[in-house]
Amino acid sequence: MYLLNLLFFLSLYFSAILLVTMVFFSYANKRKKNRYLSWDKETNHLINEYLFAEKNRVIELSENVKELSKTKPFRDFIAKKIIIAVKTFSGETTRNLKKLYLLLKLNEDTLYNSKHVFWYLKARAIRNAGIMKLDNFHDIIFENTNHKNDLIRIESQIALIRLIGFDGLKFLNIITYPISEWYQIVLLKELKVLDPDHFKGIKFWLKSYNKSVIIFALKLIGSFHLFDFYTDTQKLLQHKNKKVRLQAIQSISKIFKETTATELFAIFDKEPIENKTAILKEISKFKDPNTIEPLLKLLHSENPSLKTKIAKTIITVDKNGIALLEKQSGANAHPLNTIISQLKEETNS
Amino acid sequence: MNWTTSIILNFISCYILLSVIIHVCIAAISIIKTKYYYNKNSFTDYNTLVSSSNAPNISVITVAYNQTDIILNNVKQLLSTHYNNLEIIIINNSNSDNVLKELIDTYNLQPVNVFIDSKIPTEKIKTIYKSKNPIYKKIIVVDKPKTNKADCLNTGINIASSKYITHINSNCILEQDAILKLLQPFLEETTQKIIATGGIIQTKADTTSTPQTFLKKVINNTLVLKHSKTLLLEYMGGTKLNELLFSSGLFMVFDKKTAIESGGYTSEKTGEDIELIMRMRRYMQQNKTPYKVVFIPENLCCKKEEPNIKNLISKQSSWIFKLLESFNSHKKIFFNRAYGSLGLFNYPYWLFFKFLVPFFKGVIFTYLIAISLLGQVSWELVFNLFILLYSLKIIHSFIAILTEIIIQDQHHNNYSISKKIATAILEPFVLNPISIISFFKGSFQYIKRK
Amino acid sequence: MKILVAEDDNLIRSALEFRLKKDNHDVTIAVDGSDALKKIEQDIPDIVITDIMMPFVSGLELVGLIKEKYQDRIKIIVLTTMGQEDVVLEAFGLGADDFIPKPFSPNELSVRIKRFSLK
Repeated sequence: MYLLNLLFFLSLYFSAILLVTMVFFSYANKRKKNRYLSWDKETNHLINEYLFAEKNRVIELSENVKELSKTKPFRDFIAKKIIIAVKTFSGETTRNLKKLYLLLKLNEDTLYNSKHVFWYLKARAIRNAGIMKLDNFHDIIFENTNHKNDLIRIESQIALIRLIGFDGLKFLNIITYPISEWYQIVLLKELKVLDPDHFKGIKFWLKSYNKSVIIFALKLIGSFHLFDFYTDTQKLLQHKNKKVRLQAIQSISKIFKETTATELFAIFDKEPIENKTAILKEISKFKDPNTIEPLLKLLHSENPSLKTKIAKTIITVDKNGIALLEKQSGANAHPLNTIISQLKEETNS
Repeated sequence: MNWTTSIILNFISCYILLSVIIHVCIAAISIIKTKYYYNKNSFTDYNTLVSSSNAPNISVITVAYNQTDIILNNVKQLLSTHYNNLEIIIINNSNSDNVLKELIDTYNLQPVNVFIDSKIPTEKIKTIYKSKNPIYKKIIVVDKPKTNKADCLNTGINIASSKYITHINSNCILEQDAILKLLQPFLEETTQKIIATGGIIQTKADTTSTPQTFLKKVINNTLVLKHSKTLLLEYMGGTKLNELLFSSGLFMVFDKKTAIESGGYTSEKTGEDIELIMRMRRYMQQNKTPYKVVFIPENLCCKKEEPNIKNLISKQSSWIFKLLESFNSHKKIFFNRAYGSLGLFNYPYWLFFKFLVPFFKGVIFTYLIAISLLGQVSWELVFNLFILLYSLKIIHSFIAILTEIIIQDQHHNNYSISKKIATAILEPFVLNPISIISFFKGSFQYIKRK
Repeated sequence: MKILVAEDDNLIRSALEFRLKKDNHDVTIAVDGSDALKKIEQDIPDIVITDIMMPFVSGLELVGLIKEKYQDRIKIIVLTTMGQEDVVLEAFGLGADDFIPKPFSPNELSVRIKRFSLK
């Protein structure tokens, strides 16, 4: 019975302790909230003044702000606000905000946090350095582009691009961790805002032993239409990894030549289903009448679900596709007859 | 006190102790994971995915029953989701033609002839409709003779053209970026295969229809509290162990290929999603492929329901019924080493420390009252045991409230702490009887069916 | 001109209010979509500036609802995030009159508003 009694007393004490802690924390939170509310007005006003200040006008910090800016919570609070403003507004206005950031010596906090042991503080500091374009952080940021924590890593990669533009992609030379699909999307979005520039490293990245770097380089070729790399992309259609091949298929179609369709048909047979679907999707975009013949050939060899896709491709490439399909042998038998009647209705609507 | 009573009482205390230890571990893992999620989430801009051409496709499958306005509302809401690569598949499973007619009129639908590659065998389809209006090109309506739900969902999977699929009940309302949040883990993982992601469905009180009595308010508050307990102290612990089993009220996104390979939904069982996820896990484990199920500790979806005792009991007892089916059909993995932690830890954990708890409670209470009536033990001891169980329950709630205050402080600002504490103190009296009654009701139904 | 600004971030809201008041506009602010709808009911503005991503009633819904009720009496300018071409198209489809991608220069916004007032 000792165990029961022990448990009994422990649980009673513990629930009492919890009760007290809860009350304490909720009180502390309430106070924090009230404090934030009063800071809110102050900082909004300050930021607005800086945001819309005329050129070369110097705005003094008020005594109150000077006093407050000695405390850490306030510094974090205003830093957050400045970051939001810089992300929303552009042009002359952000230059003023950078002045404010430096005036409040928030860059020193950023420096301190960028070496912090807590990953999220470190990642946030690196992100802030990128958004504020603090040049002296270049080395710290570059060092962290291959950090083992994925958020620190990706935030460093983004920050490097924000800091030095396309040259920032130099991290692709050194990273050993894969870039996930999600972060590839994020990086491409970041690059889209910049003016297209020279892509020095692409040839090197296409030969990387990090597969995600190859895929990302292929995505760059595709999204920026880099016609110079046609032959390199073509070579990757034979890569042993199917995901690399898939991206090569998609990228080569963005920079396509007359011979592209033939090249894609050449690899069609060996590819897995996903890649086959991708090839068909790309070919339907070319609208090249020369592709009809090989497509008709494929129509007879593939399984039903691919047959539908091939038939659809034929129709998008050729306006009289349905007539062509109806002439095929087996057009009256299942499954081709169902496919044809479905396509007929879809084109009518 | 004779020796048998003493052994039984010791056994009970050991069970309680073990249960406390397990729950503490799971709660600790959950809290750490939730904190990690919130920290990480502050870096993520989900809009990136909305605007990207590389975003994956997803098919949302929903089954229409007889309530026309609910389904129309649901479709309207899905159409307004900020996500373009979306396909909405509505399977008509109603008795009357009203729902279909209403859908055809609203969205200008016309029959189309679609070739379906039936990878999962299903009942025959009558007609498939698509809209003439290009604005509604996302919609596909399937008309079928009335069958069971699993069959409808399988039809949906067969028709779906996307890489990912999800199924929502027509009375659920999705949060604006729910789909984005559930798709992101699929894109983020580089080493393991993610077979499913899940978020929690929150039941909100339907306050519009009937007047609010005190009892209803209490029940509603206890449900909210129970919800945050599972959200903060259980689910994330489950994902850390890579084993989110038999959990109720989930909104999940599946990898279509794996779902098809593991055979889709089964019509013999009533618990659709839990049954599917269980089979997907077994499939992955049998093929020795590393896999993961990711859970997101946020309310992504809510449904309105009137909180009264009758509804609660019928809901919980049908849940017990579904669980019994699931436990029974997967009993092969119980303490089976071939299934790793799934069989060695998770299945037993769910069986002994979640599912059978109301049963144990019922038995222990009756036993204690019986032996104290017989004079074998003192009333004081029985009373202490009650207090112990009660305070353990309260501690669990308190920890949840505390976590909520600390972690989610920035996210929710309108709650009153005293109300929550009062609810925590009342909760065991409200929910315990309900769960015990529904346990016996559910298992009785199950035995009768067999 | 009477302008209503619907934006969920309080800093941006106050910055826009500050800038537009400088141009002598009569500015009302709303914290989210449903708040915006309520304020429009009370006092019909000439121009509504709305963010796309907002809680409760999203910017797109707001555009649709306003245009359905007031047609061209209220001009709508939508604030979007860079790269959301689809969303912009959808907004125009619903009747939005202009859009500004973030990050934007507040001065540009002021010029665009002037253009509306000249019409």
